[in-house]
Amino acid sequence: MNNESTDILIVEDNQNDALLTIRSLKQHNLASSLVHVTDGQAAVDYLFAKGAYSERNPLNLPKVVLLDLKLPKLNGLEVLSLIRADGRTKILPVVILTSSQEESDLIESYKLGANSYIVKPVEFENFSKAIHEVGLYWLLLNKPPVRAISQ
Amino acid sequence: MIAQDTSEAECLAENRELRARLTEAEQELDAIRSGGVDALVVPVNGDKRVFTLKGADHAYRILIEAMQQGALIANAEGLVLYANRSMASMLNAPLEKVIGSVISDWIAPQNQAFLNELLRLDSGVKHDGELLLTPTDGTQLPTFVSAGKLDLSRESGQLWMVVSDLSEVIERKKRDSATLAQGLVKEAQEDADKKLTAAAHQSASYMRSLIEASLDPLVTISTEGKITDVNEASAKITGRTRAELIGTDFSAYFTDPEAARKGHERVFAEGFVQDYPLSIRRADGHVTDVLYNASLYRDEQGRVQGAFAAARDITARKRAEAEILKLNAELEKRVEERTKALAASQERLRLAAEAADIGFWDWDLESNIVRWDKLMFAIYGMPPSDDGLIRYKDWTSHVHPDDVAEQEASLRDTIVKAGRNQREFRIIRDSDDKTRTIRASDAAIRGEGGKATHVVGINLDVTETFERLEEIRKLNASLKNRAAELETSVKELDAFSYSVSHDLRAPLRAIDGFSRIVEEDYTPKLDDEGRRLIGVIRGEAQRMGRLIDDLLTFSRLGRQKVESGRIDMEAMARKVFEELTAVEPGHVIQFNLQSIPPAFGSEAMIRQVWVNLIGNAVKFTGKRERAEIEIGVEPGEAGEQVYFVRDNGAGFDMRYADKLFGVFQRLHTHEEFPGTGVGLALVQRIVHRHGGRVWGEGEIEKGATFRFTIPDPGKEPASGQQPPPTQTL
Repeated sequence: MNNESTDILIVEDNQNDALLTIRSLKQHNLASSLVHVTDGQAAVDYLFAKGAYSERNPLNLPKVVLLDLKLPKLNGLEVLSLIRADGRTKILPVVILTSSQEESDLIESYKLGANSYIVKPVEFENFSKAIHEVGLYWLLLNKPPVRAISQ
Repeated sequence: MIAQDTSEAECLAENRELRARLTEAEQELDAIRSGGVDALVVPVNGDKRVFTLKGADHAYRILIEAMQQGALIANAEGLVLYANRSMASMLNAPLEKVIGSVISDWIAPQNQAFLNELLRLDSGVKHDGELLLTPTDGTQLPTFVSAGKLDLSRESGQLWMVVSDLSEVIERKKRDSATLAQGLVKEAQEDADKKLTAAAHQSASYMRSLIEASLDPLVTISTEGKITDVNEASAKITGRTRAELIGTDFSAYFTDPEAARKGHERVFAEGFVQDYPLSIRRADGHVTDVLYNASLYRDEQGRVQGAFAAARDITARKRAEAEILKLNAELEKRVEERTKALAASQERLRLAAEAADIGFWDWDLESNIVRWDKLMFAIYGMPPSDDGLIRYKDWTSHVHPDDVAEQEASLRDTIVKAGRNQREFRIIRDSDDKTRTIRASDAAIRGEGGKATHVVGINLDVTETFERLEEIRKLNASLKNRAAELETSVKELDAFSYSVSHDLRAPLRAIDGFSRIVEEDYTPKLDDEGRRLIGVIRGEAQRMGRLIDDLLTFSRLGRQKVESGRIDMEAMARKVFEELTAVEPGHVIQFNLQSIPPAFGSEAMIRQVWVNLIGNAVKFTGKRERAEIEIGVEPGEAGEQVYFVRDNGAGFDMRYADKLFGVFQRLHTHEEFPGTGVGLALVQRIVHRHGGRVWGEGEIEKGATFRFTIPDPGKEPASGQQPPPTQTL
């Protein structure tokens, strides 16, 4: 069984957004162990060690999930509700990282138990800053519950 | 219509009742005329008056009238219907007072039980006994009474009585008892009682007494027409003494002696004459109408001796007849009046119906005759029949085949159960074969026992009304469709802007991001022009991002609810101005904020209005050395508060004033003054959503003034200032 540990799971179908996100994280040395999946189903498979990820140890969860809303197969809200419905991932930190400023998306995300909701700025400086702060907060400042579960 | 229906039904019912009473009265009159009725109790001024009718020609009555014994007939309640003269004299009261009185009034208290026993006798049973009468002179008169119940079907329950005076017998009995031994007295008394009772019975047949006792004038007339004997009644009716009468020509005492003689001749020709009407003139001129009855009398050898005649006073009967006729006439008159009233009410109904195009029909269930008024025929497009009569099937044949069964069922329901129904059905009009829609109401009129005898109803052609209703229904349906369509397009727009918000910004972020990466990673390879061009790319990408953000804000505004609250407009305007100018400390503006009243609206939205209007003022005065911005309030046309923001900036050409509030409409280049062209469109949308108006005035290089109103939702909207409907992008 693959026991490699992961800090961040990035769920993002847009390759450019993913690249910019990863670049921002790398610039601040926050991307030492991250996994990028491009659709909702892959995210669920990864977290619950199914399908392509069946070799993975399901107890080895990332410190944070950066989740886009508009995704192929399962959308972000569906992925979030599956995460919250499972005892293993019930308290896994999930940050919604999206272009959507729609109030309905915001409210629905928090209702489903998102830990944070970040609107991706169009301007690269602001975007880069936002990603940096998110990474800093969830990976270094925040005391994650995940390790406690897996231990 | 319903109230009129009822009054008509009442009128008809009353009419029928009056007619029934009239028939009853006529039958009664017939009965009186044919002698079937002996006495008549007629209510006159609240009292009961009994008229004794002597028209019934029963020979026995002559005898009864003539006998010394009292005779009476009472009804089951004890009301005296008939009494003979002897009865009256026993009671020491005039005959008129006895008839119509209550029999128990004349009976001693100790005999009331016996009287009740008599009154309860079964018909046909006879009963004898002693009875103490109480005549008006206060004495008590001992009598022997024979009584029984009549068993003729008509008079069933009536009590008859024959009463013999026992006072003389008892007197004698007393005298005898004085001389006889006490032991013998009783025996003798009983014996005497029987004998004397028998004697009393026999005495009733004593001819003289009979004649004298008779109320009717009784006369014996010789073959020559001469009076040979008379009774007291004859003396009374003619006003002459017995002596004066005997030996004179009998016909002389009648108003028409010739007729009297003819009647007399008929006795000899036919052996008798019956109810021959004549009038007797009294000595003082008073005339009494009588019926003359006579028969021959013969001696022992059978030779005709003369005629025995009785004249019966028919004044009372005539009076009763007159009374009946009068009552009858009154009834007739009332029937006529009611008929007239009914006709008038029907005429009124007819006029009302004509005015309203309502057809009337009447269905007599007993004769199965249906009658229509002219309008009914007009509604059905049929030529009216002369008498308005049609057959029931003439109606059903015009009802739409699909509706017939239901309509007939409804009519049956009216007749049998409901008594009243309202219906709607289709007919095929005779004149043009067109289908018309009829609204109908009908009501059953019930006779005795609640059985329906008539059904009356109305028809009203409501085709046009119905069609109009149909049109309205169709319009409503199409409006509903359009509303649904609009709702769908709103949903599509929602989906669209959702998609815009997600998908349009991502490429921009990529353009900006990768431009930045090029800048960072390839700095040594780029010259100044290269870096400038990358700057242009990034600037435009960012502007596009703002455009999208503004557009999404504008779009969201249409879907947001206005949550109204009180807004301190003055404080809000000041704060917005301070925030907007804080980022440009070099731009000095003379800001003149007047005291402005609060408004009611959505705080976030109204704030956006101030941000955009003050923001524009700041932006367009950017090139002024002495920039001035004034905010205040002035009264509007309809007395409402008009907020204004005035500046001395670049202004605009009034020719393009209509483009000011359009989305992406700009009157300046981006180079002159940056902007997305959404700001004023947003202002207009917010103001409209608050039911207010916004408009602008300007002059190139002299400045612009923007005005807006936010009506107080508690007040009526100003007349003629209809706010435009809320738009949804």
